[in-house]
Amino acid sequence: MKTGRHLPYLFWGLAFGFIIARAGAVRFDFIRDMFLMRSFQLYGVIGGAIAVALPLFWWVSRRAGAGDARFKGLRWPHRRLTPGTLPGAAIFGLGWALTGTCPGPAVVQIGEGHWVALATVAGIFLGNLAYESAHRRWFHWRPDSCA
Amino acid sequence: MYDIVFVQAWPWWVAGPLVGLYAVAFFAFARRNLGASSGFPAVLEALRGKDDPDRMDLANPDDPLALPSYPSDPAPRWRVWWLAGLLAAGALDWALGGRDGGSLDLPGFTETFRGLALWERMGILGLGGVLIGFGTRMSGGCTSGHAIFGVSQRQLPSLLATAVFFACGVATAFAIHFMVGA
Repeated sequence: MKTGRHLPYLFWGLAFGFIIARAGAVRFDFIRDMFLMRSFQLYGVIGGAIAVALPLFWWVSRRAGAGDARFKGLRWPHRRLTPGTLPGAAIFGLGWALTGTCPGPAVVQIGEGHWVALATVAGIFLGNLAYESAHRRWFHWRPDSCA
Repeated sequence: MYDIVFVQAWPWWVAGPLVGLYAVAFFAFARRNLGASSGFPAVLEALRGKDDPDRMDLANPDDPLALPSYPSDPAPRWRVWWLAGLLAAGALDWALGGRDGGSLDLPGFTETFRGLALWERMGILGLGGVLIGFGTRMSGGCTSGHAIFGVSQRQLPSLLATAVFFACGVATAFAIHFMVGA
């Protein structure tokens, strides 16, 4: 049954959403104060996440590469730099500062009852549709898998 | 104690390492890479009635967790469920924290864009949302996919993208700050 296969991801999402909500990463004022260098909080959250995950991922990739049975079938991702990677990042940065939210937190904000975030999420869907037609029409590169 | 856990924001030295542990656990146990932004195309594909491109159940019967088609799947269906989990997390945070939910504001948002009418503020959010959707799709990731997963996995494109969207975010925030003075 498909639903049973997918259900764990609901709980993975719940856990991630709750951690970032409690970190303040879903708050407009926290994100604004990060960009204005008034608060270290979210630099600490992102930096702390990388500081913990980087050595652990390095260890996992090394063990998987050495044929460790625990990590059998685990595929290490390979992100490609496409002509869209950096311009897209710049456009995203603009939207991130305007709305004080990135894609995940926008969804959390709706759950928190901040109903204006419905406008943000509607915009994200519109932006995706716009990109799809723009890509078909003008961009000739193979898109990188969206992480 | 309840206050510290459910009402006040967790200090970065608690929340940051938790996010890092989550990332590695998700990769090791769910065997996938995470990114919130690609949940949106996954929802669109589901609405279009497309089949789930994630054919995990078809291959490698001796290892049910192995992912034959990973990571080239454009928008596997599990991302929709993961996104629904984010929605539930927001509701849980609202219920437990008892903060200012059920409002047409975000903390600090009206204060920053004071003097603007509600429809103008919603227009800013909608426009920003379009930029987020277009940009993340073009770039292939956002804060979670590029900054947290990509950088931790030593993916150079993700490191460069992270540098660019942080720089652009800082520049935009200061531009708003000097224009509206908040």
